[in-house]
Formats: sequence, structure tokens, C-alpha cells
Amino acid sequence: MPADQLSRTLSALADPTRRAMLARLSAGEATVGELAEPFSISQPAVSKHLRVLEHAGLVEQGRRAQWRPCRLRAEPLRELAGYLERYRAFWEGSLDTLDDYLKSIGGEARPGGSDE
Amino acid sequence: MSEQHTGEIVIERIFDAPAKALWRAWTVPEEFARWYGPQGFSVPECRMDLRVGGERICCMAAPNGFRMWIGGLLQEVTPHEQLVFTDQPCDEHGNPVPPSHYGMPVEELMQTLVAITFAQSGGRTALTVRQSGFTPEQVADERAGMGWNQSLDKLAALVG
Repeated sequence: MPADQLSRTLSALADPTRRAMLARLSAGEATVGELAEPFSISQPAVSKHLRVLEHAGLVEQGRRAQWRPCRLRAEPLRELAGYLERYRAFWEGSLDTLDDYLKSIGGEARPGGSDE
Repeated sequence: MSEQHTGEIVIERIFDAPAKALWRAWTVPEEFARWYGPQGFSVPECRMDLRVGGERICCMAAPNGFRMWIGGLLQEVTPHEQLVFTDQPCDEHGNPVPPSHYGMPVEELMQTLVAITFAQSGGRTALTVRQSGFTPEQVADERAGMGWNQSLDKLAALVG
């Protein structure tokens, strides 16, 4: 994925309110008013967060007047997950080796253990 | 999904070993070099100045000989309990380099924060690896939250 898209996705996710809004949208469409409900912030503030999410391509808003539901767009999240997966695989692989290593030294390190 | 919504990685693993042994595996360079990195890679060099503000630097060598250095500064050192450090591509002297230096595509993502927690129960230890700060602002927020404001100027210079 292009660097700027990944960066936009991550920046959008850096804010807890926006993460909560995405979590709400992952359960289904919602209006701006519905999205604002759980927060003690003004509707304009919610709209501002929404614009960040839209800019990052994480949310799209319906065009129908009156009822303009916001929808989650999962594609950037999937791309991000793919990116993070490489980091995860790095640690998982390393920890597998660490486990083997600890087992291999277990016999010599366990009885009494060595000092600091 | 939670991971996708927060932009961080959390890995938990239980080891059949005391926290002391795990701590050594993470903080003694010769031991760290025995297991760190992808399968098939080796760690020909590793240095660690085990104190807050100390430098940690590590070279990973791929089977084809390609070498990459990763380094950063230790942010928290609580023996047998917690180890926190920044992590970023660097040269062999520890100077940060952009990921493109190693042919990696994403320019913006230079520095992340890695927090390792050791929790012993009986003879076993639950290890948690939490890597965050995949956005520069996020690293800044977390540092500020933990009272590392003095590092922000340096960080700003790094990501600016």
C-alpha cells in the first residue's frame, strides 16, 4: 500500500474517539447524530473526526438527504492489518526461537540459577 | 479487529521459564543474539547499554548476507518486569536511517515503541510484546504521557 495511505490510516487511528467511532461503525451504519451519542463532545467535533476518517478512506457517508448514514470502509484496515502482520510474524518467529533457546539452556540454568 | 482499530501489535506468550531467565535473554546481548530475528537470520552484532536512555543496537544478517541494523534508546528498565525501547532502522553506528536505506518502502514509518512485560507466576512467565507508535504522532503522545518530554525535540528532528 502507498506510504501516504498507510500514514493516513494510522494517523486516523491514533485518536481514541475515532477508534470508538470505527468500532461503532463496524457493528453497522450510523448517522452522525448516532455516532455522537456516546461522546461528551459537540456534533461539530464529531463531524471533524468524521472528516479525518473520510479523508483516510475509512468511512464513507451516504448521499441521500436527511438520512446520510456513515459506513465503515474496511479496505484500508485490511491493508493496515497486512502491514502489521509482518511485524507480528517477526515477533512470533523470534519468540518461537526464544522458546527453543530457553529449553536448550533450561538444564544448565534451572538448578540454582545463575546470579544477575 | 481490535488490532486493526488501534494500529498496534500485542503478542502474549507463556514460557516455561522464570522471569529472570527471560530478562537475561532480552538484555544480555550474547543471549539476545541467539534468538532474535526471522528464521534463518543471524545476529552477528548486538550492543545494549542497559539503563534508561542507554542505546540498544542490533545487526541482523539474512542468509544471503544482507545486513540490516535496528536500534533505539531504552525508555524503561525494570529488571525482571519491564523493558521499553524505541525501535528503528539505523546504520551500524546507531544513527537513524529512513527505511528506504534498506529498501523498505514506507518512508514515514521510522520509529516504533516496543514494551516488553514479564510476569512470573510459579515457574512460568507470561511475556507480552506490545509494539506501538506506527505513526510519529503516536510515539510523541505516548512519550509525553510517560514523562519523556525531553525526548520530543529529538524525536521531532527525527521525523521532521
